[in-house]
Amino acid sequence: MYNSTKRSAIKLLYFMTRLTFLIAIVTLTFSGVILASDVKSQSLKDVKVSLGAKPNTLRELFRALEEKSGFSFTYAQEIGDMSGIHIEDSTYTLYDILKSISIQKHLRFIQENFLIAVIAVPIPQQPGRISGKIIDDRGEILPGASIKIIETGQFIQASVDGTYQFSIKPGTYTLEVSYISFQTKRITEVIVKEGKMTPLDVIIQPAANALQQVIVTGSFKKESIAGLYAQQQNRIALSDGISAEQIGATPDKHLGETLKRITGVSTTDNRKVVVRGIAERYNVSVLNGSTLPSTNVQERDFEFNLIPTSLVENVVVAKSITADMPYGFAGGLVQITTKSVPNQNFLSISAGTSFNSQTTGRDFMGYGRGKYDYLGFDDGGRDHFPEGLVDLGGYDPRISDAQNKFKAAQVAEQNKRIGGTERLGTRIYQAMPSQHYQFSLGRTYALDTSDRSKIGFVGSVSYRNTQSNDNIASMRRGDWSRQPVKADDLTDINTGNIYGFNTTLGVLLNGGFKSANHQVDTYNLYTRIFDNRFSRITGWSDENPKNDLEQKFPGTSEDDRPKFTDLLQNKLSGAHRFGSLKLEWSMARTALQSFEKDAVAAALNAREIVNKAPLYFYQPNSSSDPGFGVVHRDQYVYNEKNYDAVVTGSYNFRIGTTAHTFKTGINYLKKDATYHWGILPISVGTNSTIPFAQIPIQEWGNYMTMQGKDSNIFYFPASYSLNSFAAKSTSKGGFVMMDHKVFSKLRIVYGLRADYFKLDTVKNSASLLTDKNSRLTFEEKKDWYFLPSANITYSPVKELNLRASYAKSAVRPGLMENSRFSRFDPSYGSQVKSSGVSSTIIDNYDVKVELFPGAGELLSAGYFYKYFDKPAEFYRLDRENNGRGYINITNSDWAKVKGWEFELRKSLGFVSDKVPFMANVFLSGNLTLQQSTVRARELQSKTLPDKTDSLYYTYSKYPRALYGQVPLLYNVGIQYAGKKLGLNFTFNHAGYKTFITAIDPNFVEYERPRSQFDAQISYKFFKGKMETKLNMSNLLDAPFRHFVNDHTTYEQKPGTEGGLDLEWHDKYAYKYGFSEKFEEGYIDTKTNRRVGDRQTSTRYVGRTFSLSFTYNF
Amino acid sequence: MKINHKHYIITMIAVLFLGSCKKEGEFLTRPIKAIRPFNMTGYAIGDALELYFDDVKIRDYYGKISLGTVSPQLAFENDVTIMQLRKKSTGEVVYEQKFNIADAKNEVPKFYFNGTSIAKSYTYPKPQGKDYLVNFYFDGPKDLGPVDVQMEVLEYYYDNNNNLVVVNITGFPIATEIAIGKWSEYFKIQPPPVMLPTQPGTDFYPLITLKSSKTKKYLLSGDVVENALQIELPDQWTSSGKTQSIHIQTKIADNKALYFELNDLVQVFP
Repeated sequence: MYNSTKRSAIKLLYFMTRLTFLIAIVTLTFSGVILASDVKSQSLKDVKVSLGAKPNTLRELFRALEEKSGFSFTYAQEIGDMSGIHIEDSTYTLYDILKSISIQKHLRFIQENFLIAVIAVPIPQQPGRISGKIIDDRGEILPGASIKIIETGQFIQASVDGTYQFSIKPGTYTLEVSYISFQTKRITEVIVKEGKMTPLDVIIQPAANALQQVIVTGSFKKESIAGLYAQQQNRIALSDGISAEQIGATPDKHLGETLKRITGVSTTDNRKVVVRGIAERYNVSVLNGSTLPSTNVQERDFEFNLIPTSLVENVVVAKSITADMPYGFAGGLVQITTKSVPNQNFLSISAGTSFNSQTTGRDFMGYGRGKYDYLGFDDGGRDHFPEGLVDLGGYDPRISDAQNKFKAAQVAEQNKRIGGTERLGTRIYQAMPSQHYQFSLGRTYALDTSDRSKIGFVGSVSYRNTQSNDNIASMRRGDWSRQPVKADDLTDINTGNIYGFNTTLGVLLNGGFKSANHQVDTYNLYTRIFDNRFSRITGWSDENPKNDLEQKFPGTSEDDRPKFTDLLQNKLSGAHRFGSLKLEWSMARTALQSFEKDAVAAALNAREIVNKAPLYFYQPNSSSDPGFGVVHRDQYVYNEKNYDAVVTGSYNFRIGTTAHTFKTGINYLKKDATYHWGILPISVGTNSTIPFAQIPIQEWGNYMTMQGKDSNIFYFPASYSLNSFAAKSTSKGGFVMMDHKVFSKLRIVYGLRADYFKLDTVKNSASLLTDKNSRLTFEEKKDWYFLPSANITYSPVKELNLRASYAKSAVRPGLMENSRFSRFDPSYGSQVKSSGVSSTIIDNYDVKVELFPGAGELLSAGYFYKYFDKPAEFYRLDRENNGRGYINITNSDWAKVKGWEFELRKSLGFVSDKVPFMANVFLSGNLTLQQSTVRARELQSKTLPDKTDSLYYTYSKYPRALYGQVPLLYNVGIQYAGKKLGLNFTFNHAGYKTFITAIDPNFVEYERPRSQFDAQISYKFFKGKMETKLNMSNLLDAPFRHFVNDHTTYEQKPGTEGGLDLEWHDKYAYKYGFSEKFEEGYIDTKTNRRVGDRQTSTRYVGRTFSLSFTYNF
Repeated sequence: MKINHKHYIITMIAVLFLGSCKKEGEFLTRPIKAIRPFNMTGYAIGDALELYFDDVKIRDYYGKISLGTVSPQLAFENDVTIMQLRKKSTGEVVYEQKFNIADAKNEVPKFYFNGTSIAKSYTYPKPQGKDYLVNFYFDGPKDLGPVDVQMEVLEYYYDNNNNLVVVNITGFPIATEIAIGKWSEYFKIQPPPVMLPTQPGTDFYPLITLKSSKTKKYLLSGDVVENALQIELPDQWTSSGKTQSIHIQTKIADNKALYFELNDLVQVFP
């Protein structure tokens, strides 16, 4: 066809269209005029319509409306076919109906007199995003790298942390990544879906010749897998971690639940972290690079529940050491990084509740609560420690004022100031389901059009209240009777409960600025925890076991510990890049206050009278008892402030095709701690006539006027019970480190750290009368240590890594670890005290083979060996030979720990390509086998000829296990992560754990193997906006069971009678059928006594089912 | 109002939060208003008695009832407390007494429970002349069957090591086929007969023992001495008669061995 003919045809068509249109308009106008005679108004708001039968399609609706309103509708066929319309069954105006339909079906109505044209409104497309990191072949991030979308010409530069992000219309694109002296890379087939993020980490290779332009092209699939490989393979140190994406695929609500998903990591009560079977004392937790102070004063633990997973960027547990790590460890360094500038805006609200099979809806015991306990604050009811309490040492309530050191009126006045005992005495409450709420917000703002510079923040406010009831099925630890008097008497048991009431409030606010070469972030975390643990154990003591006379009924011990903890961490950090030079810095202040308010210990005596079998009543201490007695109310205030600063600089350079980095830096950490304790024994004169069996403890305050034998209950503080501890420590250090990547297959990282530590105790008082003259041994040999480290990684093929590393590390003592303070700990059934702790120097050796069969898949095997010089341990000593002893923390001579570690992470996609969901099923498992030996030592003293005291150690011949050792640890899990449904089943097993160690095996306490099975189900509703998670934990109701190898299970070797200086192994041997492991044994029918291991504690925590809802706006 | 999922969430949060607001708890140990002295003695046979105070079971009694190791005290949580004795097998209240906090003395009159009802005392016949009367109530395992009671006179001497050597045992039946779980008729016990030694240096000693009517064997393991019952025997010089009502209970010792516990109700109710 000629062009002129074409033009004529188009003109004709155009003319016809216009003509048709005009005719149509004229026709419609005239029709309207004709039809208008029947209708009063053309205004849709005035036309009322009552619909009869509900229409199924729009066509039926429009027909009904045409009949009832006189208006005509014109619409396309597909609009008429639309179904699923909702019209309320009542009379509406035509305007209301059309408005409702317009919202429901995205339609627009154009009225021309009585004709209404219906047209579909196109739904605007939401943009999608491409986001990721640009890294080099060593896994180093490349800030400033250029990323361009070929199709649109959009261009941005990677931020200082190597990240980039495009917001773009859905479609398929090609990305081009370029950077000076690197090969330019094009990635094709990058599919962007509406409203979705396409993650793409790109790895680019250095160019052999900087002047030559080389463009390498790869597909999206290939590149994204390569990016993942690069991250896994290029970690310098041996580490395992979990990223925000992986956490997102789990139903975990807080970090306590997430940590145990990491290879070789297990947690106790979501607080103490055990890495590679090595106890929490040798592991360090850092939040955004700064250490977390322990929320428990005498032990190292941290409430990981405080950190919601939605704010976590990643968690990496480093298991080998590089010189740039400022904190020494032996098991692992748990590095938690929270988000600062989010990739996208978010707003989410989460609420949840949980039920525990042995807590919820049952009786829940405790002392008097405050009005604001559910909010985490005290209402003043626990304020019983006024300023200026006077030590009443030497006061005797039986003698007259003239003869006494203090006047009765003075004591009465102090009693009044301290206040009454109304809060004391056990109450029964009803346990409520646990509840938690969380509000999280993240915003990001671009500062320029290319999206290179941006600022943003993330914030979260969370609330959690948890109530727990641990059922102690058996307690034979500490002063409790160690076995029944008659083995077949099933009533001769010691049982109880630990009631936990916990309210946690958390506020997190992080923010930052990011540009191509600079990044400055601030991290702020405030948490308040109100944790009230109330232990109540009923039974017979070892000193007064059950009998049919005065010990027919058991007594009860109560211990109430309401603790308010505030933790505030503020941190400012920055990263700056100047060409090949990168400078990073941070400074942080962390303040912790742990305030145990009105902690009470009390005991109930049992006496059988005619109508009470038994009658339980509290009895104060006798004023002649020099100790705290059994009834006392206490206050413990711990304040710790940490200031830390770190500056590091690194310089990247290349020699030929090899890449190198030189890194150096300094760090400083100052800690200040004070600990004040006030212990107020509640005593009574020995001549008292107060009938205690009739006076409830909550009314004792009415008998404190000190005016005679019938009012002589009083608070009896002694000098050692109102005292304090203060200490400060300084750690500083510097390092140099080299990182060489040679021939693209070999990477060598080595360095040297100089580490300084000094601890000064400013005030160090004893808290027990018996310890007033004791001294601590603090043997810090030197202040500075030089700690070399080296890591070698060889990758003969892309899928394989061979790693070897060596590092020397120093684990420093905690401030309170050198305190003379000691306190009864119900978990151990005895006092815990220190004999002085100094630094432990550890030589760490690791080898590991890693195989990456596919993206996100891993198969690895590793061996580790560690030599601890002067390891600090918790161990039981019994110097007073009372069979109970106390828990002592101090250094042993040396320890050797060796072990194997295996990990498997595999997708089941290989089973069958025809079953697509199998690719979303992951099987994971890890296994740690570990063995440790310790040479124990004991401090002795002797008097020299010049009559001076000399200290020396005696060493054990026979090695024993390291405190906290878990020789076998494995996790097996299967996970399905679909678009809507998520399932996760995990089975965790920990073998025999050395709970408390001792030189004498009769005092070593083990935890029996425990297996926990958990399951989680999650489902997404409302197009993924709402997520419901059902967590079921401890489905097997596995108890925590501890035991001691009882003396009935071993016998003395012949010929060793009277032997001096013999160790246990020289003198004793296990009887036939008994070993170090748990053996229940048998009942000797002659003596009616058990021959078998003593089950020191059996505790059930119940099954927990928690349900949570999260809504993302 | 149209309810959507947001409203569900808000409602759920509100229910949870408000539901947790119960703060006050009840005291576990209730306050005692007063503790007063108390006394109770008696005897129960045939069925155990359950002691209740204010509908709370305190303990069981069988045999001799005394406070023993129990402190003789009564705790008042209220001004009045009601004591009941209930028959264990049926729960039937056989005795009730009200105690008031204002009373200085709280005492249950001595009683005898025969398995069915409470009486003020156990009744027994007075002996005629020098008669030694005895009846038995044997409480033992049902499968033991009836028992025989006999006097056994031991001819014995002590050897050089002061060990008892029994040379001869001569038995004299007192009662046969005594059924388990009921009072027997009264039997007369005669003084042990005068016997001649079978060898020089021996002496005689009479004992009352219990044997199975079926097997004619001692009920307890061990020899005759270990199977002896502490029952008073007349002798030829006895000047007055005596009545004994012996309640024999078999009990198990700590070492799982059976032993007899005897109570003479005549002494409990003199």
